[in-house]
Amino acid sequence: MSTACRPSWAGLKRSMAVVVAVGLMLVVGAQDAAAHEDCVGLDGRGVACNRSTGAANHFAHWVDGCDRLSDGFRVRAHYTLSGIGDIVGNWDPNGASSGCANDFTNQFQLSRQRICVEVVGCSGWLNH
Amino acid sequence: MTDASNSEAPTPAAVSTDRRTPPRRSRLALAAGVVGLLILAGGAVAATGVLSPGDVIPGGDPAPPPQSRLAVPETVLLTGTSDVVGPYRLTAYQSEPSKAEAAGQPCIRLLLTEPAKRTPLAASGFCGDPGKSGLSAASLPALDDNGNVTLFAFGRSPEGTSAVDLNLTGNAGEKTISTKPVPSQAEFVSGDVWVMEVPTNGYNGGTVSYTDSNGNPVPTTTDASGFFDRARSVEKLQPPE
Repeated sequence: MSTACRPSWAGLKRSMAVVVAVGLMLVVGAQDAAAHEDCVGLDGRGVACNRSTGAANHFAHWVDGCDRLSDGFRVRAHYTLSGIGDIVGNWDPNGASSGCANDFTNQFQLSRQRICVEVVGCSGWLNH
Repeated sequence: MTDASNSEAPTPAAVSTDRRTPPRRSRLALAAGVVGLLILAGGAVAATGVLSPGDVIPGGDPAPPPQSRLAVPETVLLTGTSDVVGPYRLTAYQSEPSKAEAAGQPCIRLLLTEPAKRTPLAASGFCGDPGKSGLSAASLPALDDNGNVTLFAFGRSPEGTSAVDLNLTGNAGEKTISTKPVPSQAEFVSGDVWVMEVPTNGYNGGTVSYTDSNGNPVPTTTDASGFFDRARSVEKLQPPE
């Protein structure tokens, strides 16, 4: 191999350092905003899921209420925000079609959630 | 490779190699720098100033009010101001993958941009297209710092909807409030979108209906009693410590 083709190891190391640094930024950034998600369901009729993300001192909690069975009964989440009390979610607006109703808070912590199906009843509480 | 073997000559090749290597290294470093800058830009605070329908709010790390930024971009659909809880905006975004729902769902959310410390929710919304009725409706109950409650109804309707009506019932009697939906400014949210602020004193139920582009009432309604369930649940909340 001629000198012209020989790779510069110093150059390669510098390039790799840059790539690793960028990669670390991506990974750290992703971890800072990593989501934690738990769901509780009721007999396949619906689920209530919470998604939590946090970065530094900023957090966000979502509560999703999802209808999973096209049975004519509406589905909504119930949940508790720490220190203030219980809230009733929206009925899933399009029933069992794709998509859920959601609530979003970035001022209070979520302590538990459950899913409730019209007429049928509610799941147990999923505590956090 | 062919060029390298053909250009073999001690001094000129060495010089030409030196000239080639820095540009490759510089290009990589430059690309990495650009990527790094993009990452930083993604985490930057959203632009301040008045937002208008059609504006796109970049996604990024979660942020507190007023941005209440999502990880994905949002398109502003409409904005307004409430006498009770201040400014709000309705936006559209596409869902991220989650256990609840698939990624890429068309979603809208109603966000309070200056939420009182006492209000439990910064936003409410839903994902997915409307069902057969063509109408999707949800609510966002909110409190001011004195514990006064207000209620928003919002949702989607077919393109060209003349009006969305909320027919209220309760001890105060019956009352209909209406709004003219506006076209969605997000290509992944079809049809029109709407928001109404709803009186809660003396009302505990009702239905949502709409008239089509020809002004004809569409004979399907959506029960709105759940909106008032939410308003009541929020009214009962303890003030935060």
